[in-house]
Amino acid sequence: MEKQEVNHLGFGKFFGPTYKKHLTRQKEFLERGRPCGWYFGYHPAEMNYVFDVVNIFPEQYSAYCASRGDSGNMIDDYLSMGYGSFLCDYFKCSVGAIDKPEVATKPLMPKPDFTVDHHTICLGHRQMAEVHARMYGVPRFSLTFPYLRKEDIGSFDDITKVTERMDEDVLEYAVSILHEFASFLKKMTGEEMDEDKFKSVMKTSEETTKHFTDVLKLFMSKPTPGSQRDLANFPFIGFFIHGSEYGLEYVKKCHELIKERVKKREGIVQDEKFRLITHGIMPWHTLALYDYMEELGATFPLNPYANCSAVLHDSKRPFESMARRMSNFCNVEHEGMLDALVKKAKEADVDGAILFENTGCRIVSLVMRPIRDALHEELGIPSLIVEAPQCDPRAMPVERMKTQIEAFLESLE
Amino acid sequence: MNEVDEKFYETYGKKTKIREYQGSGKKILGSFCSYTPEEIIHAAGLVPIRIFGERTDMEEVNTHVSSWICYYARRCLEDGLQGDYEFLDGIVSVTSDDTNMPMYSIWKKEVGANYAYLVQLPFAINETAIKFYTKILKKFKRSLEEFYSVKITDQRLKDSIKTYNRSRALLRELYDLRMSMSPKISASDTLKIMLASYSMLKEEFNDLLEGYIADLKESEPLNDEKIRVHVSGTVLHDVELLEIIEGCGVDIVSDDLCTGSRYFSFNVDETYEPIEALSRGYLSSKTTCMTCSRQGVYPLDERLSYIRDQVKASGADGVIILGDKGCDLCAYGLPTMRKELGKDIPILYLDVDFPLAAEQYKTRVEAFVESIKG
Repeated sequence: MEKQEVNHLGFGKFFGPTYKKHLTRQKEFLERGRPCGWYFGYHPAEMNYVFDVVNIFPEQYSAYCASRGDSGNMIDDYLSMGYGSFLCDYFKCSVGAIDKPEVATKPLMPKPDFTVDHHTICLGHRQMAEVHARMYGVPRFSLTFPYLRKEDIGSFDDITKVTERMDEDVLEYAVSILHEFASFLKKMTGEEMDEDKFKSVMKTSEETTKHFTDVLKLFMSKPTPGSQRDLANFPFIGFFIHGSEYGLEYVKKCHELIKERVKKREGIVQDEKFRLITHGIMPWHTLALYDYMEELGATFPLNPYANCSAVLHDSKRPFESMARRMSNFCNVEHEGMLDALVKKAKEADVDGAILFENTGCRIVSLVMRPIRDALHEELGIPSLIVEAPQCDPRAMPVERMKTQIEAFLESLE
Repeated sequence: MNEVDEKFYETYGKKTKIREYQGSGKKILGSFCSYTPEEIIHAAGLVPIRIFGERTDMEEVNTHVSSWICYYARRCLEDGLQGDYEFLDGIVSVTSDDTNMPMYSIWKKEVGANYAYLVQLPFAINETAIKFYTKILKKFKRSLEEFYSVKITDQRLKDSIKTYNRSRALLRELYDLRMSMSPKISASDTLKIMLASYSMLKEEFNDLLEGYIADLKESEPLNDEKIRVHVSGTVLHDVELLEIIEGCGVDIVSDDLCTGSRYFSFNVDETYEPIEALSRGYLSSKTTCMTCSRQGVYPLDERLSYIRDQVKASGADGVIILGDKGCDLCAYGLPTMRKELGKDIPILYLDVDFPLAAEQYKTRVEAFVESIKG
């Protein structure tokens, strides 16, 4: 197949300075003796900025290790500790890094004073948090939001997480857990919650989420204005730093770039041959795979994995907004989730899907075949499911993935 | 055929009672997890049963789920897809783990069910969670009432709770006979009885078990001097595996299996309003997965404490952990479990998958027995 040049939007150039600000904040806070929390899953990130907590994300660290080519050694060490092969790659890397720091990517994560897990991406997060909390002998808090049934919310928007309705009991329970979480952070920091700061952080978050969700909506434009390289840092912003000034600054800049490009009707490739959905945690060790697909004229206007990290906040209803994270793609029963996906697929006018099954991730892997079937039954479009662990390059060599993908793209032609 | 096979195991294997209930017009609902509040289904005049997969050749299921998912889920789905559960009118599942939730959706679509309901767990154990779960169970009750046009009165619920509590008490009594220093029943026979309890109405099961226990008490102990072992794991319904272990000179005297002591490790307090009582009861159950846990404690500590209590009470000489490499609930805690339990007692870990590698298991269990005997 003929290759084309990929015209990235260039979100990446803003990310370096943003991440540096994040690390600087961490460093300063650690020097000041602020408590450090390790966060697992889709937690209400805003609270970290309200309580000035050092927020560490072992999953993001693991993705970073994979992108630097270090994950193999860390996973080997994890296996030597007696853990099994079919667990989350993120967990494998972070446990390996703690057990054998000499093989891990630097800088290492600072030691936690507590862990926080959230259930709305997977229940595995609670187990991961427990293992890490145990390793350091620190307390853990579980944000025990319930799993949602279609009848609890009706239809929902995969990007904003705005639902047709919300079951009152479910919402009340989730909000009560958020209040408990605030109490937990009060205990960890020894400080009361600063109400003015809370309002201000929530305002920042609201503004951030408006830009953030709009960027993802604009991604669905024709031709597809951005590449997956552009999008790759978005989950970090969405999952972990909503509520920070530097997060807002980043998405504002990204928003400007994409608006400009959409206005000019420019795409990332000259000849957009296939508009595809991609889902699954990105194989961080092989992001060049997306470049390869895009060079072949395949673009990705819709990435439900990235969309997972989006949410639209309403600063006037802060706790309800934070609870809205429940209605993400991973936490809704298949029926509702597939409806939301098919709706977005129609909007994005896609020709097919390339789905990455992340070995060890049950939530992602168990939805791949239902997605394939729904897209075929509802829209008559084909899907390719590729086995692709997110941090272990050895489990699925990239050349094998390329062969499968190229054959799929040829079949679309 | 021994008495247990005849009285109990046939009920599971040949589904004799299920066919009988169907013949009399009763509707059967299948479930996948010990957290399922069966009493509510029972009080609706329906028959709650547990779904197990018997097939070991995976022909259909890999089209729908990844091949590395836990064998319990794969085997259940395989049986469902092959039509072995056509007699079910519906399914009830709970949000107890990352496989159960999608499996419910996949079953609903691919196998089909007239009635399907997903009970949402609060994942926590405290008064707020109990209040929330009470509301969830009330919704479940309403859903059954509406779909099956029945009225589940408080009295019916109280009666069902009483029946289930009686069942739990009898099963505890049976386990005590297995746990005694001169066991009167083997673990494989006990499992056959457990499987029967999942395949028939509890009131009938209770009558059957009560009579059997009375006879068992009068019987001679199993005439053997074997190594006493505790078995740890999640859902196990393969009698053959326990027979292999027992055949190596082992008495399995206690367990913490979902299909074992975990199933009856709690009681529902009959002094509360019935739905609240169920909410409190099920959240207090010490399930293997510890999906619902308390803030401020490590859930695995609670599991370890349960196992240690069982080991102490049974006087077990060793622990055999039956692992499922596809079960994340087992796998995250496994190294810690091995390390912590191993401080006090010899441990053997067996990675269980199907078809069973019988000879491999025999070799390993025999070596374990030898190591304990010294």
